[in-house]
Amino acid sequence: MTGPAIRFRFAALCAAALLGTALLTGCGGKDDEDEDRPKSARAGASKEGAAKDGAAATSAPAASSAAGPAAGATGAASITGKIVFEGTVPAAEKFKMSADAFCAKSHPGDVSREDIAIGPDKGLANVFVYVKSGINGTYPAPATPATIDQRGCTYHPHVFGMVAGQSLEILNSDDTLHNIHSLPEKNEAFNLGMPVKGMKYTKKFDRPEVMIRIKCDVHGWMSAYCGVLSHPFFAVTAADGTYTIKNLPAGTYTIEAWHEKLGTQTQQVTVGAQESKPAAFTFKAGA
Amino acid sequence: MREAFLRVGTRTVAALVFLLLVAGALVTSTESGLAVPDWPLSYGKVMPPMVGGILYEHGHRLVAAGVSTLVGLEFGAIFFFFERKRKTLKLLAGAAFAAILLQALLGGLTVLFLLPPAISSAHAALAEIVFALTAVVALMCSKTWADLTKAPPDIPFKEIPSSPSSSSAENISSKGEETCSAFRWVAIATAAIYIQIVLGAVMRHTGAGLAIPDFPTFFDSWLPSLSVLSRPGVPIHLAHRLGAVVVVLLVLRAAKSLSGVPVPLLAALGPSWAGLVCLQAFLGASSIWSSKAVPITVAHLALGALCWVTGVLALVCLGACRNPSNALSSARRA
Repeated sequence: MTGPAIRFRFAALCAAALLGTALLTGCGGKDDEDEDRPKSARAGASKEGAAKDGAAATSAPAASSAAGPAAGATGAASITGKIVFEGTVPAAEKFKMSADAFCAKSHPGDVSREDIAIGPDKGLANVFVYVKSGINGTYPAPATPATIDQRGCTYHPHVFGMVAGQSLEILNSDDTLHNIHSLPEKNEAFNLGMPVKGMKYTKKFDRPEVMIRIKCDVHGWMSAYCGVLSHPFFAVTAADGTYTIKNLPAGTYTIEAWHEKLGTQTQQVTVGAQESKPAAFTFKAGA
Repeated sequence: MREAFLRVGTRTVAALVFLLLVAGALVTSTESGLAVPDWPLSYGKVMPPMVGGILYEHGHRLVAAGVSTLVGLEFGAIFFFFERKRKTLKLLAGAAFAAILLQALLGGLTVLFLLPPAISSAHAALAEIVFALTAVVALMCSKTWADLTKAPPDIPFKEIPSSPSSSSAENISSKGEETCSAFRWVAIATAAIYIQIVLGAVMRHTGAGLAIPDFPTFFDSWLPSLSVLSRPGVPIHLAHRLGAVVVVLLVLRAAKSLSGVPVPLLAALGPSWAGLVCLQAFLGASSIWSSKAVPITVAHLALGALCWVTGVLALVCLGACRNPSNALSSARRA
């Protein structure tokens, strides 16, 4: 083969490689935009994070309307109840946030751990209550993202639920750096640095998993728990221990209540269409 | 002057490698391994704010960078300037430098892959090798080593009369056998310590440190039941506990055999080594009783490294004494 012919082939190969790279980069570009990219909404994220605090902790099955033939049904039934703690209320473990001047300034003095939060009438907060079995069909992920905010060197909310495939918006409203580190067993783990106030990341958990621990390795006291389900029938107890799982179709369900320290409990509940049934749980220390 | 500089320099490097091990123990004990999610930079910077877990993780990186540079300089100094004829020393210094570079790479990979137990455990296991290599380099540059390896002044070993009437020859022969026996026991005990350290690293990095939460019992029972063994983390935790028993027994036996060695330094090392290992076993138990209190787990890891390196140094010294000519000179000195 002559010299010019070799050079021509080499140039053609280079052009093809460049074109291929450009096409691949173009295909991958959307994913990059969707996930892992800090959006650095420095100005607006703080307010937005504050407004959305706890939004993901209340169940929202509204997004399941655009379902195909195999889509799961929604209804007007609900399961409601109060989760209480029985026995001597354990003394809250205290700690100081002195490891970071910003955190110490946000929380001067001793801070109580969030793991066992007992409200009025011994109502137990931060219990994830969900339909463990009895749901048929598939439910699409809501378009509205669930949100977790790092604010005042704690996570808001501390316990929350989301549907598999739903976006999780992660905010840093603090004027200090955090890393957010998920520790799932069935989903892909992530560990993201968020050194700037107002930074925002979006991640997803694609598979149902109850529960996924989320932690900050910079501030060892920061932890949160996320329940990922294949359906939107879940709730997290409020400060007084109450919860409501709404929009259920009629049926017989196994309801599980999960608490990070006190374990899990289950109950079977049968609800008719447009009926509201109670399901109360009592957790005991060391049970 | 040159030898004195080398002696002080190599000892300092070995001590700093030990400091690096302690810094690494602080990272794992405070669960700060992922406080800095990127590598080689930290939050995109050379120097991030040293708050919370970043203090431990980035502090470990800074110490590692400094110590790696010093290990490199040590290798350069030994290779190019000081020890032109000592091939083993040059080889060990080079191995230490290569190992610490590999160690840095493993440290980076374990951060980028979110602390996979295999890489994190390999990082911990290689750290002990680096410490041992730098300690042996320091030993080989010391006066003790020069004394141990000094050639006998007159007759070679093989020319010693072996007739039954020669009591001095019998004595030398007996001392040589004791040295060989001590070498075997120390080698076995040191290998057991290293295996125990690796088991400890796997236990630590798989989060099984409290898989059995009580000690000396197993879930309030004196014998672990089969159902308990199927719980996550229990087999590796149990292996580390049983390993501790084996290590204590082997080190006690090795220490006893060291007492018969005709080198006063090695004979005196036995009780210290046995004491260190017993204290280490107590720290292991204390880390369970204290639910893995940070100072105790750090001390447990640090003392484990000292037990291992003590074994390695004793082994290298015994190896030198086992050499017939060195054994003779050692025996004569004794």
